[in-house]
This record gives sequence, C-alpha cells and structure tokens, in this order.
Amino acid sequence: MISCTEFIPAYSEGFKFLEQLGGKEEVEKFWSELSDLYLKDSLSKLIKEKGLEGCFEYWSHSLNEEAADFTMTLDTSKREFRIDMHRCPSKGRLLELQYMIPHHSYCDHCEALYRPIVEKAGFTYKSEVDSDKASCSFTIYK
Amino acid sequence: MIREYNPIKTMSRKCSDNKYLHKDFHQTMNLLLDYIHRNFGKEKLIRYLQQFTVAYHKPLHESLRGGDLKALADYFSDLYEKEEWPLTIRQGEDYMEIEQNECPGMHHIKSLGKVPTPLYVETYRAVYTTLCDDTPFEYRLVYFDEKTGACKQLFTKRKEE
Repeated sequence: MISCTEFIPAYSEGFKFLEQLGGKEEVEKFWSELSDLYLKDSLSKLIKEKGLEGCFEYWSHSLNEEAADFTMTLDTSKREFRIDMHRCPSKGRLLELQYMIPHHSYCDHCEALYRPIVEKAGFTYKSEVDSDKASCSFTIYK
Repeated sequence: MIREYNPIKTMSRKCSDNKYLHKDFHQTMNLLLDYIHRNFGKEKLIRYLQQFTVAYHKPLHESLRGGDLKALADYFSDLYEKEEWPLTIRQGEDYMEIEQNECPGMHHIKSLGKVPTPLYVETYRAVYTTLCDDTPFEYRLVYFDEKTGACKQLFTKRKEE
C-alpha cells in the first residue's frame, strides 16, 4: 500500500514518470484531469456556492490535515482571499527526503489545479512561489 | 448596542499544531494510478510503481539488503500507526507475515463514493516485490480481497540454491 502519508513522494515520482512517457504536456494533461475530477465535489462546489467564504472553508480543512504552516486571510470588504504558505507541507517533505529529487516543476501543480476552478467561478488567481524554500502565497479575488 | 462588523477573518497555524494525516490523498493517488492505467496500460502502471519504490524506499531497501527484517516490521508498524489503522504482524527469524481486514486506502476512497482503480492491488504486489529485489527476502501476496483490500502478505528469506 502507498499510505496517504507517503503520497507526496509518490505524486512527485508520478509527475516524473508521466514526463518520461509524454513530456511536460502529459504532466499538464494529468493535472487538468485531476483538477476536474478531484476538486469537482470540493473546492469547485464550495466556491460556486459560497464564493470566497467557500475558499476559506476548503483550505481550512485541507491545510490543517496536511499540517501546513500558513496564514489564511479572508477580507470580504476587499473581496479577497489570501494564503501565505510559510512552509508548504508537500514541498517541505520532498526537500526533507534528501535521497530523492523532486520533480523539477513540482510546485506548478497547485496553480494548474486551482486556477481553472477559480476562474470558472468568476474570480482571479494570482500566485508567487519560492519552491526552494517551500513557501508561496496566492490570492483569489474579484 | 451597535456591533461593528469585522470584514477580516484569519487563520494561522504552525506545522506542529496538527497531525499530518490527509486521507483524501488516497483518492488523489487512486486518480494518478487510474490515469496511468487508462492511458498507458498495466505494464506502465507497474513500471511506475517500481520506479517509485526504487526511489522512495531506498533506505528501507538498503536495510533489507543487509538482512534486517526488523526494519521492515518497524516500517509497517509506524506506517499503520500514522494511518490509524489496525494491522497484525507476525514475525519469526526468517519470515514476517502481515494481515489486515481492510485496506485503509480503499476504505477511504469508497467512503468518498469513489471506486478504487482495478489494479489497486499493485500498490501491494508491485511495490513490495520490487522492495525485495536484490535482497535476501522474497514477497508473496497470499490473498487479496479486491472489494475490501483485506489481505495477507508474507516476506520470507529466500532459500539458498
């Protein structure tokens, strides 16, 4: 079994494997399918029903379970939701496994998964990533 | 009394504030396995699991190469403890037997109303067979229930030829 606690290295190796088979295009194709299938019943539904409050609800659940180091802010007056990821649990774990080399564009999967959902719901997605430090921030706004 | 409306809501957490256990990753794993199987076939799916095992289980593989079966028992105990899932381990000098009534991954996938990929069994068979390659041990999946993931796995010392 691949435990959910071992998923991140399996995910990263999966990106490498898909890239070996069909280049970066194949990895992006997988991310696009994953965005549709995996987030359909969660983020996609919440953002359509509750807007930015739905984003707060979605990431409250996942980031706590992933034991992330983060600050999340919802400012309804500015119609803006923001996450400052001080230490990403996924990339952080990959950097800790010094005997493994993470997929070169590992961090790109977040934007590939979330941006289409956010834009489909009529919001804008903007992110800044420092993958060497396992940190990033992103903002979703009207 | 006039209550002032605060338009800002925040949440801050440190890594140490929570336990790392995001069970929905089982479904993401399931989707990755299914994607490879659907688009590239069984052989490539197994190749992926072999590649993952060689990369991720390198330290455990080294221990097994050195004949350390206890390292494997410790690995499984720790893994299932983190998953908060029951597992029976029986160990002798030359063997280790693992038995579970249900697979935690398959259980979670089904709890979300999703279906485990038809080759989910390979996350056991392909992974642990590869782990034993070039070690004094061999792996056998004694039985595996495709519906629940209930299974018995056996690691034994190879017989010298």
